[in-house]
Amino acid sequence: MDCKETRRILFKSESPEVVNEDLVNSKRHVKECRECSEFLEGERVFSAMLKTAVRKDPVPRELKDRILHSSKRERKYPKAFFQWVGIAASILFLVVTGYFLTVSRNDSPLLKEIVNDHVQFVLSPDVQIGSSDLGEIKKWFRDKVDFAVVVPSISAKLKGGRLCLLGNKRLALLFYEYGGSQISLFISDNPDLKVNIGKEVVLNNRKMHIVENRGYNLLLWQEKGLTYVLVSELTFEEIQKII
Amino acid sequence: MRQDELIERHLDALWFAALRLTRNREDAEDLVQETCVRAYENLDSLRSYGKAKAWLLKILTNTFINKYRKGKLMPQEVDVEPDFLEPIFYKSGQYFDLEKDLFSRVMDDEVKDAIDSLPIEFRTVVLLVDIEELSYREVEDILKISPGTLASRLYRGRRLLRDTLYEYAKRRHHIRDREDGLQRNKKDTI
Repeated sequence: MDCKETRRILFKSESPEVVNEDLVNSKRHVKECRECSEFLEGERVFSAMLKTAVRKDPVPRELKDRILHSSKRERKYPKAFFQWVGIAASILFLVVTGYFLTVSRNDSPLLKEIVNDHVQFVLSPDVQIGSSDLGEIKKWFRDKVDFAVVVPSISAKLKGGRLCLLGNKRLALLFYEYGGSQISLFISDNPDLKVNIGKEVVLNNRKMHIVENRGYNLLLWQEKGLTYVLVSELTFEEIQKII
Repeated sequence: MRQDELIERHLDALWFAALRLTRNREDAEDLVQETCVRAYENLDSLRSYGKAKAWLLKILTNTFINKYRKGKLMPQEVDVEPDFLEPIFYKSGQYFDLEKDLFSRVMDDEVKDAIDSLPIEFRTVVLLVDIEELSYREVEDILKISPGTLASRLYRGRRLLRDTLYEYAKRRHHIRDREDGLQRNKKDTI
């Protein structure tokens, strides 16, 4: 076996599980060939030095917070739970969850998550796309969510958007400002999201529901297969002006 | 281990890999976030927490290919298999010391720039094998390439990287070519 064949075999055999005759012969060759031995040692040294020479910058704090915040929300819907109790209990769980989302109560986990997201934005405005150009924002979402983002007309200043994870679904989240107040608009294609929470109102000829949660007003409605949840500290009268 | 702990443990690796693949901070942020969202959604497919790093890097690489390269696959096969005869510490007819003549002569950012300058198929294998220390089998699985292709890309990628680092070192006047090979500047040999 010559040097070229030996190196070709050993270069692609990091830690072979199957030791064949070629491999045995290659290793034997390396033991007796100083050039091949140095060649392989050079590869090992280069690889090790390259790793040492590169300093990995830590992930930006804001990005880390955003990702881990999503993860905490995810834990509220644990898959382990479903494994635990089996299919029967899963069905029961869905029924119970559906019940709680359907009935008119304003302290559901869903609302809390949405308000949490809004509060996080108010405290630390963090957008993935900062723009007041609706076309640009819709284009940005195009390959990030599984649906075409249709944005309703809202008389407030568009500031940007970001991706949001709610339960297992990816949502589009848009940010607006009106009279110094921040507004978050969640857009989802999840048909299971119930919007008949709180008080029914009709705004701009559309049937909607308004509910209060921890000092924030949430306006919920569905239109053309999409579910919208608008969150802000605006009063109902102020919300009426922008919808 | 909780989901967020699992992700958090490998976030820096994902960030570094995303920066190298996209060569753009904004795209890298999107790529890491997208990777984590997909990871949360597909946590069931992770067979062992010990394989989490390779699993996350696989999601990141696939997301990068599908999204930022618009589904354009990386070249699947390198045209001609290299001869595997050129030692990596041999350049311009002269043997040199990898540490003294090369790595100690360049800055951290220059090493990153050199990696970024590699064509994508070489950049990816150098990143996954040499920097992230994934096994050959894991990288073959991520990139869907044969052991021979991986070996060829690693061989060529390391030499391209060495040549770029060599040029950086030369530009900083630490080393210069001689007709019969490399020569260190006098002040650098002390």
